[in-house]
Amino acid sequence: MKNIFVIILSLFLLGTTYNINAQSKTIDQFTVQVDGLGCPFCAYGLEKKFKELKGIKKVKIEMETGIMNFEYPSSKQLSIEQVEQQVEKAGYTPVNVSITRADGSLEQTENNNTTEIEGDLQNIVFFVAGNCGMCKSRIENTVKKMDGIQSAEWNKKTKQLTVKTSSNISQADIEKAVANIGHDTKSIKAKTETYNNLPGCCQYERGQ
Amino acid sequence: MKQLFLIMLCIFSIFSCAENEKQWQFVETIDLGTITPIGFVFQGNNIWIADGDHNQIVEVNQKGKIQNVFPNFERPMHLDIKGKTFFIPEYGSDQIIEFTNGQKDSLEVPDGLDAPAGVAVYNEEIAIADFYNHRIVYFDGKDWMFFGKEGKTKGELYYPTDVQILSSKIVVADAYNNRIQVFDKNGKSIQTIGETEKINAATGVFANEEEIIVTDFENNRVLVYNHRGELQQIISEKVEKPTDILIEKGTLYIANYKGKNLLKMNK
Repeated sequence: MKNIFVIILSLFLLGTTYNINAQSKTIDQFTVQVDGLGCPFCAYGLEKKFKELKGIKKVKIEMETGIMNFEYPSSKQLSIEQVEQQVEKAGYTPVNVSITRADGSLEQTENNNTTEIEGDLQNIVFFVAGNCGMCKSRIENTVKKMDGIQSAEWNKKTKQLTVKTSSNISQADIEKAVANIGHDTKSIKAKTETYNNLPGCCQYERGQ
Repeated sequence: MKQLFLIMLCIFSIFSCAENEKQWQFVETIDLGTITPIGFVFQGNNIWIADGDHNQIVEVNQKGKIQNVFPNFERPMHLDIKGKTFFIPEYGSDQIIEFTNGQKDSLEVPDGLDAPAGVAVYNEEIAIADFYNHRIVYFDGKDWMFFGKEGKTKGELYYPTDVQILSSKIVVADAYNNRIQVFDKNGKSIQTIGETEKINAATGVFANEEEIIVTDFENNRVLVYNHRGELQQIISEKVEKPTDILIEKGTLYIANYKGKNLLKMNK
């Protein structure tokens, strides 16, 4: 009797494992970094627009980081472009999309980040105006996409951006890049129009 | 001379005390456990909370103890109550649910909604903050009308999240214009408030005949104005990502979304 029970249990566990494996082979996993999520209204809004995609499951949004995860049937081959369009439809800006397909392959938004750094690394630290987690994500992602950047970290409290870079990129180049996306530095001010287009939560107090 | 100085000091002290009495003072925190409050109303002594993250309405007592849980609401937001009927905006389903004794009905609204974030009822009047349509949908007791459109100038709205009807005006949390906007009942913008305070997402609004109060979500503040738009008080003690406020029987309640609690304040 005990043996029969053990056999049934083993078959059950085997079946469950098989089902889980089979299911994971039909599901793509998505991670999307979104700019402009400030409050629950924004997060629910993004979720709402993505629920228009029939078959979407396990939508999870972290407001602080602006990262959204979800699952989608691999048979529908949802593309990076379609995901980006849906984010824009919700009123936000896609920063990065990463898809782990059911077969294990990885697709992600192209960026120009270089992995090989020539020459000595240098640390550049300077002030960048900003407010929140969204600002952090926008500033760091912009700088990381520049040639020769190994790492970029912006501190929300001190407003200091620390960049590790090869010597062929100047602080002025990096300052220009962050000003172009709406964030003032001590020497370069972003265009008013660009600043005005930042999400409300990111519109930091500007000096005269 | 010394006596004159003392008299002046006494008069000054009396006026100072009188001024302090007009300020809201923290009384206590009502801990809500795992509930993430977006909006709330009172029915009797109990508080009905729209728990946005968990898609439910939760009734708690004044100590925060759960009395009833009503699941299966799709992202319920700033709700209101009239008699025994709760008006619950479902952000996720684009409906206003009329919830009476456990029964749900959907309010018929012309032209459709896209993510209703707040609803207010006042006698026969209803106003809805229509988030993605950047407008207020208003029923004056006879007809429906729509006012506001996407934009940043006076009369325009940018993601409105809450609304309140008073006897002669409609007060809107113009969330991502970072201000309060006041309309008359014909839909004409008559006032904007809070633009100098650098509000960062005006997520909830409450108004009575004396005060207009707004939650400043990202700055962890609640701002109290008079009807001339003059700032009367900034409340920041224990405020953590506030989403709604309400005055009930002379007590101010603040919903802390991140803090998962309600703050009680008295004057």
